[in-house]
Amino acid sequence: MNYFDILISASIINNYVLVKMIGITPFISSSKNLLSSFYMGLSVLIVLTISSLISYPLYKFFEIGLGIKYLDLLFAVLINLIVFKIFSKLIERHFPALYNTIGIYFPIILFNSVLFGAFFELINKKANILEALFYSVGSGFGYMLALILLSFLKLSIDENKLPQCFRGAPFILICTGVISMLFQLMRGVVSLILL
Amino acid sequence: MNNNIKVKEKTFLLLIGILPFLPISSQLSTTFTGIMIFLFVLIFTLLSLKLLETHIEKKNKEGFVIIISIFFLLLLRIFLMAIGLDIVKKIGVYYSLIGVNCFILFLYENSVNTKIKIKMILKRLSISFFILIIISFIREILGTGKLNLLFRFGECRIGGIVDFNFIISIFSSSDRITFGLPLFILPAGGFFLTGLIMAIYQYLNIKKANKN
Repeated sequence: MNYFDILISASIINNYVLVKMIGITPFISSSKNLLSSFYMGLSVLIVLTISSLISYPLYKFFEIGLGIKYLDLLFAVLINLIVFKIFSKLIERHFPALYNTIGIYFPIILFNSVLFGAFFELINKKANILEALFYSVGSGFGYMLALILLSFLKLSIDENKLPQCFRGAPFILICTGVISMLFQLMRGVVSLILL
Repeated sequence: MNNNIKVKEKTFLLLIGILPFLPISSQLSTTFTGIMIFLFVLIFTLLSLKLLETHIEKKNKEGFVIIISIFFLLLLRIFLMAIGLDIVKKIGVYYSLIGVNCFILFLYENSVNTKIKIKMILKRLSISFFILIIISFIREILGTGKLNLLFRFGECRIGGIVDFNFIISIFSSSDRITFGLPLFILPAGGFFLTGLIMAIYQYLNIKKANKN
């Protein structure tokens, strides 16, 4: 399997939010507007890539070197926590405008299930470092794409024209369902092209 | 206006208990399994926190919860594998994500309330899990055309039969021909169904709030 296939597979065919349904809670709570969705998606992509590249080889070392297989969750949590703390400090210091825009979402990024799901998936696939890099970039990109599409859909529909009971979370969930159906369709087409 | 904001907040709180289990809600058996695992880890983590509250500094509480919940999750996994139950394999990667959801819930509760009340969390979660079971029931029955309560997790080494097989076919009495709406098995169906049920819940809450 070449690296482009891994990238497309991770972002579209096996999209974390829309196909695997992992990380839905932060997904629906963070799609306020287009710009913040983009920044949020970009932050997840960066944190996911860096933490996967650090935690996965470290886990492999402990698994192969010391034979400890059961500490995968501990690794995932600790490494993500460290990477996230460093990332948020860097953003706060060098990009204060960006930090103010998405600062409130940082706790959501920290414990986004997508970060942990990607790590466990890499363990199951027994990927090498390059495959892990492309997989995590693809997963993060897929998350960002899904967030941006949801924001677009929300912008194009005036929520005030909907019945009161559908405003808020029900409307967002139904929009997510529509985008998920679109990704299912794309999944079939892309799988055919790749094969 | 204030009533609408309160209703939206209530809906969001409910969704925190439902959405993490949506990936495994296409089958009733996996939903029950996920709920049991989550409750085990959550209750024991919160009890440990209550017992050791006086010995832990406030700033270290979050780290403590993370370590404790991972410990109970690992303990449960080792125990299940030791007695030969294949639950972890059945749920797959979502087993570890259930542990993650435990401390996400704790982080949220810690940020909103000064003191964590176990009874209040469990009361709110009970409503979420009731709605989740309804979602799972509808998804399986409409998606596959039958309700398969096959709780077969493997041969239990400590002398029990962990095999409960009960199938109800709704659309057809034959096992070979089944009619279903595959949309409900797909993620899109899960999202649509959850959105519709949340809309019904919001409608009932708005009606109740307007009456008051």
